[in-house]
Amino acid sequence: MTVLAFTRWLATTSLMRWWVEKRASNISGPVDRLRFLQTHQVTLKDLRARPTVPVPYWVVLVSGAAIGVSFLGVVSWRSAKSSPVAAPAQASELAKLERPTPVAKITAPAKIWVVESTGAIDTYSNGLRVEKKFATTNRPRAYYAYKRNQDLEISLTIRNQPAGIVFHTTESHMAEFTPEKNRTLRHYGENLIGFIREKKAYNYVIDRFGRVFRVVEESETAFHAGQSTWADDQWVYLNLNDSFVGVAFETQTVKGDESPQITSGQMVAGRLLTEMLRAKYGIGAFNCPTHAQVSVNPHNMIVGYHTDWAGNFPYEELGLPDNYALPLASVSIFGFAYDPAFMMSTGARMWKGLLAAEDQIREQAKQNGRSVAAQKAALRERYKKLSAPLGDSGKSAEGE
Amino acid sequence: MGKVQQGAFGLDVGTSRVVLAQQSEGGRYDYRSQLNAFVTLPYSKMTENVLRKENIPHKVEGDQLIVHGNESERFADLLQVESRRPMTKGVLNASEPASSEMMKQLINSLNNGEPGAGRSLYYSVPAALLGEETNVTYHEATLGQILREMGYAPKAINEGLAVVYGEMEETNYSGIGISCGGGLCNVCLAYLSVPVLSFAVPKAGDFIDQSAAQITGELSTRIRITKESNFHINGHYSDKVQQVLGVYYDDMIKSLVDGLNHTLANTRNMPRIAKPVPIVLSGGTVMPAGFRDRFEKILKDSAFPLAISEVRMASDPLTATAKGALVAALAEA
Repeated sequence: MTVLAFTRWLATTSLMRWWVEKRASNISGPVDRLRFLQTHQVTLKDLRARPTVPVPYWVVLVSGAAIGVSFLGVVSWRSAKSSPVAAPAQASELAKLERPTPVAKITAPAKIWVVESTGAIDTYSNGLRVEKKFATTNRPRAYYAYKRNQDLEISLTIRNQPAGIVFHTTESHMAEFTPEKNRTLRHYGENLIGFIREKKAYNYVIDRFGRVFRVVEESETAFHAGQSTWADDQWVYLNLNDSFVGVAFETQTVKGDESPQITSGQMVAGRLLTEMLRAKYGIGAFNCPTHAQVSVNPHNMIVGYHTDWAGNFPYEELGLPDNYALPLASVSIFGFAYDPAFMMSTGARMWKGLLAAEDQIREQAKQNGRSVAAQKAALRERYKKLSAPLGDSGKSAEGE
Repeated sequence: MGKVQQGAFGLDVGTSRVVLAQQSEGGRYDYRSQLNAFVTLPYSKMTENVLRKENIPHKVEGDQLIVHGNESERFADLLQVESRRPMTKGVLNASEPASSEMMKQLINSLNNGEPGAGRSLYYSVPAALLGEETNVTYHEATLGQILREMGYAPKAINEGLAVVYGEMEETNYSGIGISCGGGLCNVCLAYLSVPVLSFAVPKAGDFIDQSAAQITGELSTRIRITKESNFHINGHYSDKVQQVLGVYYDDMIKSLVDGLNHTLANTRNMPRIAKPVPIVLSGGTVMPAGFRDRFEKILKDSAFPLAISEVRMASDPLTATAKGALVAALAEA
């Protein structure tokens, strides 16, 4: 086991255990607390696994220090109730930190306009260049939104303007990013975009050189989000193919706490494209989640059917707040559950959103005089009722 | 019991007693218990009338009357007969042909004869005996079958784990739960609700009673009465019975602590437990005054490998297992 692998292992297991313990300590009532712990049993069983090779003491120290830094930098939590047994120093230090209120500011981007439009390329005033040679059509956007109130009343107007952006990864083959592999890189990229065009999978793709390709026209639906849900402070959206623009980065998903595999060119292009779309459609910063944040599986009522950008999307570099801190609508509004596999793939940043969602459910349960479990069950029923008439609006590029 | 929720049950199936736990409407836990014993009487119309008049649970079986539960002890005394036990050493008594039927009767009377109606019921089962290959599959399966026939949706829970669930909410269900009943002492170390290790030792209340009876020449019944009425584990004993009881209690506690040490030493892939964990003692056999102190002393003397935050008695040692089984059932609901 390498130092890096060991560090990752330790980070995952220690972080998970700390999170589970801390979270459980804040749950009042023996039944709810036990239920919470039991839903995380698989993860805890993983704690039994130890490195199979001896690890030098200094590695443990260095790893511990690294994790301490990452804890302080990435995770913050509300103060926990005091525990009758002494907490480890690391946890007690962290417990002093306050969790930030997960509300993102709506800041309207500056006005951005098309400077020049040729048959092949659109050039925008912020420097964005969009290649159009793969552009295609599908069907016009048309969707309903639901008012974010007790009953989630449906808005009677059919909407056709995008309300947000969902960020994806293409999960395609990746060649080494070196000049020697230029030909392979181009070959992979073009094949990929051809495939995406055929499947009408995204509205935009950003290849590894940072080139932005329009695939499905913005005014039309791409099959990018499948079964999914998201909400802003006024509206709730179901099955986001119609309501959100799908933007995919040519890259592969890595575990949530690992560095994203994204080139500097993609980073710049992603920022410019996001700016343009937000300016054009007045998209709020908090309506720019990743696919992992919106994806759900209605068959087992668990979130995160897709886990692209599950915990390492470079929000800040794209000029956005850390939307991982926002409560997951699927959990807080529709009572979806999450499993240890999702927790392990997301990493600490996404956990903040899960915590926020759980807090909201507890508050709702209190207001309704129900147990948390009963509240979640009621929310799940609500989802089933609202999603039943939606038909194949949750279709994905894989045809699910 | 108060008005009960349409919900789940926890059932502690012990060698000596069976305890049913249920949550009342106000969220309180309510318990009913019965002695896990019965006596048979020759049938007569007059006897049956008396039993009915006195509301004593009984059943007519051919030419016999069967009195079970709490009243069986009184009748055994009255008629100078031995009460019969559906269970022995923590599992169904293989040499008692009526064991299954009696268990059914007992559980039925605990729930006032109400049908299970598909409700969830967690019932306690012992862990495997330390160092022995015996398993409890037959016991677990038979009890499960009985409960299913009664209309419940049963699930087995390890007895020691039930103690953890019943008593260790404050430590997120991390700690060692010990239940010392009549037939066995059950032990379970759990970490964040996950059972890490569990085992049972065959030295428990019956072992103490029978061993002391053998040495002193007294009846087991008298030994048990002494044990439950005025016995203190403090090293200063006023008579021979108490002195012998002290010796066998020490023997039982040492077996428990040795078992824990042995099992901890031989458990592979133990999770890293950063915080000291508590030990909670429950079951009728831990009731004598001074048991906790004696246990703690023997534990400390043994160079126990795990950091222990405290050794404490269960809030109610007689109902801790049933409570934990109920908490598990409610958590699943």
